Amino acid sequence: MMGVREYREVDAAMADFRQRTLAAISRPLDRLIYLSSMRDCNTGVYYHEGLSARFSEEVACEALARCHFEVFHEVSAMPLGDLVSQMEAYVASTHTHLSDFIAVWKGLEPYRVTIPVDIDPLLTEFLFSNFKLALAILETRPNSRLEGGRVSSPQPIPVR
Amino acid sequence: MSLFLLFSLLGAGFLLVLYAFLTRTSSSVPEGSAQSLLVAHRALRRLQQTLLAPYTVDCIFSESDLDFVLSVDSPEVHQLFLLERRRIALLWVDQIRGEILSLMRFHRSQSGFYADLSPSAELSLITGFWSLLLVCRSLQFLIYFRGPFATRAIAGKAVLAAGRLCQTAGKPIVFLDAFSTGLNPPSPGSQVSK
Repeated sequence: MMGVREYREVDAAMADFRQRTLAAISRPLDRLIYLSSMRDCNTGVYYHEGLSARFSEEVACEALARCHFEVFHEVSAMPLGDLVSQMEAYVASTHTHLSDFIAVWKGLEPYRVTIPVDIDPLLTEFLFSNFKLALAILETRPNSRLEGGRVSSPQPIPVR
Repeated sequence: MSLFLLFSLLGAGFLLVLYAFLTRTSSSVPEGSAQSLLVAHRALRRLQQTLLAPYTVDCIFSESDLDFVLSVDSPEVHQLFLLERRRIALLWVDQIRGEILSLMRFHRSQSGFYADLSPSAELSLITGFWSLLLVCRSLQFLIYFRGPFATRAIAGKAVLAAGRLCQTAGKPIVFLDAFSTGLNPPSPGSQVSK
């Protein structure tokens, strides 16, 4: 268990991480995806070299876990309309065709790994449901449909 | 015919005894055990911090989400939205019901060890538990048949009633809040090997 000193260090690490890293990522959805990518899915441990170097590995991990928790709540409380816009902006930032993105996200459901470990199952289900709805809404957009014989995509279309 | 009746009665009696025996052994937590105290405390915290929190209710029954979805020109999306929100709302009520049952079990068997509630307070608590369970069942029924958005007002009232009940029911275990940080599951940070 952490002592008072470690808790203070965690707070300092969180402030540092918010200021140096999260501030540069404007959309909460992008932050959620980024933070979940820093976690080892086998152990649940978060890694960030810079933060570990400034503090300790344990403090950095705890700080990242808490930031992840905060961002999760921010995204799950977001109105559905905002989630759709953020998802659309995220797709644009990855330079993926919308139809490919929808196909992969519907098939693989990668959003399932964006959830922090100790989140209430109801909130998790709620966010998954919102992701599903956002994908269904994006699918209604005209540019989400694959044009017949489209060859513009540089990447191969994933196997379905 | 009378033989059949006799056998039926014997069978029913046997099943009743078996049920009583099984329920007795399955809930054989030592009286006043820390385990039951922790389970009840976790149920109370989950109810107060998540399930009954205005944030959760606002998210599930969000009118702005409904308006947004209705602005999308797709009947399939409308249908999916209503189905999904109904599923989540039913899950929400089910989880509230589950936690209320946990608290009720604790009060039925253990609360006497931790606090002196007056008989009238005990009685009102038991009545509160049963009426809330009934409200939860009715709410599930209404959500299933009328949809979540038609039942938002009733859900809000149920949340208020459940919140009041939690305050009374939480009295015997409220002292655990002081140690609540120690009761949390280990955070990922604590798993980093040194």
